[in-house]
Amino acid sequence: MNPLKNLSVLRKLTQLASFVFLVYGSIWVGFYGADKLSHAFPALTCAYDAQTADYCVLVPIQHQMAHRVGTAVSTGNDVLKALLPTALSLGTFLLLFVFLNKAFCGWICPLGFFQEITHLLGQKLGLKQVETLKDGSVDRLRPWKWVTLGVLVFGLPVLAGAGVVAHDLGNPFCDICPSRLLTTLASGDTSQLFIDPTTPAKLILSMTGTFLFGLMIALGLTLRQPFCRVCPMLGLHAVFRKLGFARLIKNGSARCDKCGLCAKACPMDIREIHTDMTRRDVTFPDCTLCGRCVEFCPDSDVLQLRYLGLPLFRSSPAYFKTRKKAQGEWEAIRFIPSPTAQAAKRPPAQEQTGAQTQAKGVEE
Amino acid sequence: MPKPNPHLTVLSLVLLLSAPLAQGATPSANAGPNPLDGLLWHPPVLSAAPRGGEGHTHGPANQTPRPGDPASPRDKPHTPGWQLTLGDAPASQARVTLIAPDLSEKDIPLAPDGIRLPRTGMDNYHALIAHWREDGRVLTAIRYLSQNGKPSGHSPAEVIARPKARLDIVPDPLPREHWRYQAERSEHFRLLFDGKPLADTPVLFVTDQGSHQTLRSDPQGRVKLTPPDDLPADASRRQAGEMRLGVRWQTPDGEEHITQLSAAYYPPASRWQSLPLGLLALLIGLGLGLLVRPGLLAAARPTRRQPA
Repeated sequence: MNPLKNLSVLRKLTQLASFVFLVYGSIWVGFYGADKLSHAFPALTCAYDAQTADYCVLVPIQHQMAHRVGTAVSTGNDVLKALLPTALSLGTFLLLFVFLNKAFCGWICPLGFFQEITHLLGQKLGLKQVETLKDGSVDRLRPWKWVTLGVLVFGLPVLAGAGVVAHDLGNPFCDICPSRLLTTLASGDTSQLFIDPTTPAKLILSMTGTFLFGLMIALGLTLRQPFCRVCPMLGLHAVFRKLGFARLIKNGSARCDKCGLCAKACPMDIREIHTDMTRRDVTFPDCTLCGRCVEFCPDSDVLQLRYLGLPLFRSSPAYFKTRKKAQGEWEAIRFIPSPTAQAAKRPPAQEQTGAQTQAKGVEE
Repeated sequence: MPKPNPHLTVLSLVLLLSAPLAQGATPSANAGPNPLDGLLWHPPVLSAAPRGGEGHTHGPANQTPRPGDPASPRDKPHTPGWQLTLGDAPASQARVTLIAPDLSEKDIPLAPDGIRLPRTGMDNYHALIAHWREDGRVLTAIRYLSQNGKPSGHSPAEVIARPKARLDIVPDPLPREHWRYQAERSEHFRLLFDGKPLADTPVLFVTDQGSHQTLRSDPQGRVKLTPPDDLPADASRRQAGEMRLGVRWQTPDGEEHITQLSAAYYPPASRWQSLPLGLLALLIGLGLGLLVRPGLLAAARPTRRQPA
C-alpha cells in the first residue's frame, strides 16, 4: 500500500509535525508568553515547556478559576464579572476547536502521539496487547474525564482561590499532567521531574505527577491511549463537539451487526460506533476522530469522516483490503520475535475465517 | 509597610557615591588589576528594595526580607510594593526614561524626594533606563520591570531589542513572563556597543549577598551567567536577592561608557525539589504499570473466533 494513501501514516506524520511544532515551536513563534499562538490551545501543549509554541487552554482556566473566580467568591465580588476572562479563554479555544473538533486529540496532541508511539513500541517488543477492554472496564473509565475536568481544572482551583483548600492546589491538573513532563523532557529540561516535599499538597501533587507519567508509559506498552481515557481535555472537547466542523458519520447497514471491526479498531474502545444503529453523527464523547474505524470498515460509505458536511474519507472495501494487508505486514515487523509475530506470518488464507478473524491486523 | 498606591510606583533616586555596590563584595585577591574594579565603587545601577523601610538611604538596602514573611514586597518584584533606587546619579543630571511594551517612551521627572513611575496601562515588561554623564563618562543603568494592565499586543522581544544606550547589556532572553532569574540556572546576555557585539570583554557580576565574578564575552558578545546560590539558607522560594552585571568600554576617542543591568534573582528550585526522588517516583510508576499488566490483560475482551 502506498504509505501516502494510508490514513494512519498520514495521521502519524501530522502528529509528528504537530509534536515538533508544539514542543519546539518557540523557534518560529517566539520565546515569550506574548508570542504564543493563542494561550488557549485545544491540545495538551505545555506552558512549562520553555520552547513551546502555545499554551493549552487548561492552563488559563485553572489560573482564572483560582485567581478570579475563587477570589471573587471569597471576597463577595461579582462572580459573573470574574468569569469574563474564562469566557474569553473558552471563546479563543472554541475559535480554534471548531476547525478540527476532536481531531485535536487524535491528530495534534503531543501526549496522544507519545502514547501511540509507546504502544507501538510495546507491540514491536512483542508484548501481549490489550486489543479491546471489556465493556465494564470501559464504562468504569469513561466518567473519569469528567472528574478530572470538574475537580482538577475547575473545582480545586476555585476552592484554592477561595481559601477553602491549600493555595498549592491552584493548578492541580498541570501539577499532575503527563504532558508537562513529556514536553519539558523532550526539550531537554529535567526541571519538572521532581518531588517537592515542602507542603503536603505539593508532595502529593508532585508524587502523583511523576508516578502517573511512569504509569502511563508502562500501561501504554500494553493498552492503547491509557491517559487519553481520563484526560480533562477529552471532556472539554466532548462538551463542544457538536460545534465542530469535522464529524464521524455513520450510515449503518444490516451487515454492521455481524462485523464490529470499527469498534475493535477504535483506540478508545467506543463500542457504540458498532452497536448504535440510530445515530448518524457518531462523534461520541470519547472519539478522537482518528479515523481508524473508517479505515477498518469493510463496507462502502458506512463510516465517513466529514468536514462541513463534505466527505473527506470514506470506508470502502478496496481500501479495507489493502489497509488490512499493510497492517499485517507492519505487525509482522518485531524487534523481538514472539508467538504473535509468528502467527502474523501465517498465510492470509488462515486468517480469513470470518468477520472477527478478519480483524486480525486491525490492532496495532 | 505603607499600602502601595495602586496607580503609582515610587522611584526614589538616591546617591550611592560613598557606598559599595555590593556590601561585602571585594575584588578577588588573585585577580590582579581588574578593569572592572571601578564598577564596584561607582555603580550606576537601578536596584530594587522593599518600599518604605530602607528607602532614601545611602548604600544598598538590606533587600532580603525576613523568611516566611508572606507580605514581603519581594514576593512580587516590580510591583508598586517595590522601590527602585538609582545609585551614583546626581539628580539634576540624570535622565530617567520608561519604555513601554509598545516602545512609547516617557521621561520620568526627578525630584529630591524621588519620582513617581507612571502606570502605562499595558502589561508585560517595560524598560527603565537612567542616563547621566559624570567626569566625561557616560553612565547607564538599565532594569526591566513588569506592570499589570491590558495586553499590549507587543512581544517583550521588542522592548528588549530597542537600544538602551551605546553600550548595552541585552538579556538573551529575559525570563519568560511569570518566570524569573534563579540561582544555579544559566542565563545569557549580549554585550553591544552601537548595536555591534563586544567580543572578549570583561563583565562584572555582583550580588547583594557579596558574591562577585568576572565573566567574559565570547566572540559573538554573549555572556553566560550562572548566579550562585548565595541567598540565606532560610530564604523562602519567593525571597529574592539583587544581582547586577556591569561593563565598561572606552571608545577610540577616549570616551568611557559604563552600563549596568540589575535584576532580582531567586533561590534555586533544588532547595526544595528533589530530582532523584522524582526519578524514583517515575520508576515506581513504571514498575507498577508493568506489574499490573496481567490484570490489564485480564480486563481485555477475549478474542472471539468464529468457525470457518
